[in-house]
Amino acid sequence: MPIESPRLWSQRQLLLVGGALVSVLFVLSLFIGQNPLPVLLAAGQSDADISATVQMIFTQIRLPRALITLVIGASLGLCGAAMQSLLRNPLATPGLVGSSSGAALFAVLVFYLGGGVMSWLLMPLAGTLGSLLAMAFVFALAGRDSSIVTLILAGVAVNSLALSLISLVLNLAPSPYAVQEIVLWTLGSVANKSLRDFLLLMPATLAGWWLLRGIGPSLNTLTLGEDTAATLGVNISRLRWRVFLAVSLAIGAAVSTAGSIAFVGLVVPHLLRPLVGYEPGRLLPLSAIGGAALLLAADIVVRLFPGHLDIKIGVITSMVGAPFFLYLIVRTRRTQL
Amino acid sequence: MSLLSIQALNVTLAGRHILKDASLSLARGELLGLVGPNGAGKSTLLKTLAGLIAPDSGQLTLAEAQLDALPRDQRARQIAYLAQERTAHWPLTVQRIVALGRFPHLADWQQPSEADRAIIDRAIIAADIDHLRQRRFNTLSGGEGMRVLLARALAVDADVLLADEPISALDPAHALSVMQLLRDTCERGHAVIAVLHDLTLAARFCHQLVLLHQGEVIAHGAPQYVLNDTNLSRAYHVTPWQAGEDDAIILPWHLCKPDTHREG
Repeated sequence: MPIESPRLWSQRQLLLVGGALVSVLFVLSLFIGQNPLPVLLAAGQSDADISATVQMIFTQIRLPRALITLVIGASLGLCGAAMQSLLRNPLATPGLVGSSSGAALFAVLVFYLGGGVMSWLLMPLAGTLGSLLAMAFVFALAGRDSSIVTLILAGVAVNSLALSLISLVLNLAPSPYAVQEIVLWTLGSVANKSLRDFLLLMPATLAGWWLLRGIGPSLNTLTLGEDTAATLGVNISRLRWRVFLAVSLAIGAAVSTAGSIAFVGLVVPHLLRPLVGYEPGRLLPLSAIGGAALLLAADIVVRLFPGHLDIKIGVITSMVGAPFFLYLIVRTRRTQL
Repeated sequence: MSLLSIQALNVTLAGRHILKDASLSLARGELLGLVGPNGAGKSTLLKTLAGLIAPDSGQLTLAEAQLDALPRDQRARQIAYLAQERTAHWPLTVQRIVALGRFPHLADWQQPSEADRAIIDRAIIAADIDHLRQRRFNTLSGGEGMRVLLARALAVDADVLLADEPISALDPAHALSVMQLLRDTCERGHAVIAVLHDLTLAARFCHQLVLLHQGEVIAHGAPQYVLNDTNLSRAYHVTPWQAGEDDAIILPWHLCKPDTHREG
């Protein structure tokens, strides 16, 4: 008879270890790149020009990139855990409510129509708007008090619609260069970002995170189904709205800043769930930390490719995430046999 | 004095008139068995009481307060509901599942107090699942899982417990122990309404029965008056069968040893 082995680490210990890991990866991310360790190389030199260049690389390139990676990774992990807990489905992703493809569609439209000098501002605004509109569309399509299955189907339908519209935009693109630019953007990248991009990413992200604070216990009650949760005093439709709105805000901001980065929101909660005894509420903060750690690590890997091979971070997460996910499915199947 | 009372309750679902002028009342310390054939409206009545279905009309009162006027959290503290759904979507430990019952009593960010933990412990001991505390829900047998979910409902420590088919799919020993647990709960001053299909156990353990047929209450009172030939024939289309000399009669009246219903 399988007996539960005692949990090795407490929640506080897990968060501390996760936080330490993220800190190490964040610092590594500042120092690793095409020009390895510029800050350390320059440390012993007194030449003012070198120092200025190094400082510029550090503050204008490395720091924004690391910060954006950290925040987007945390958003993906957090939103993935929230969606999986809300829908009681380990296959749910943050993009399930259409937020990811809606944001991508509107961002691509900005590309296509040409935001001009204002595109740095238009992109995040359009992305967040697209994300929110897609979510609202999913809700309208599913109807009030709909079942989880109907919501998921509506999400799939809206995602397909948004992706087909992105294809249409690509089809109608005026030049091959525009197509290339759009396609490369949709692959997902945190390269070439400025502090301004980071600051534009933050408002919607923080709003999303704020909405998710304190919902752990409500998500825990959903373990026994919506009827039981409702009789325990949880307002199910309000909880759904809260999670979907939070995910739309955070993911909309993330996608419009860095394109679609797949698998982090799916795999991270999966990987960490056993560590918190499968409890949805305890998974949320840990999944945010895990997402940040995974994306920072992926971004370091991207920068370690030899020469000037420009591999996008979204490609790396997919290449690592997909086989890992297959492994999880096989493992789950084995344990069920 | 009645703790819970339903007057002329009407419920329509998807255009079907499920409950028609249903009325009943329940006092503290009473175990009420809700019986009737499949589709009679038993679960709908329970869900309406639990606040999961909005009635078309009717009076629902709990301790002289209008049930639909109670705030959601207050209602959750006063009425516990054991759903027919027997699954846990995540394999939490038994201890954590039972602790979910304290959710209505905790404010945001509030951790369970000593008193909350004592109530959880009491529910675990009452349901005889102390030995299962650290087991994951998905590793339990049907009978064990049922007792865990019942302990979760008991942990709410509500005035009224609504249990939807708590003994369906249980073997005789488990069914007996769950019925005894419901009865013990009543004796501690709570009131219980249980949807039951086993008329033998319903007659044995319930203080009163309500017989529903096509959404109407056709009998309400002590088991010996409700389960008469006329009512059984009308509601279930069956007549009582009298065993002959060579026929086996199997009635699980008593548990033979206190531990026989334990598994593992």
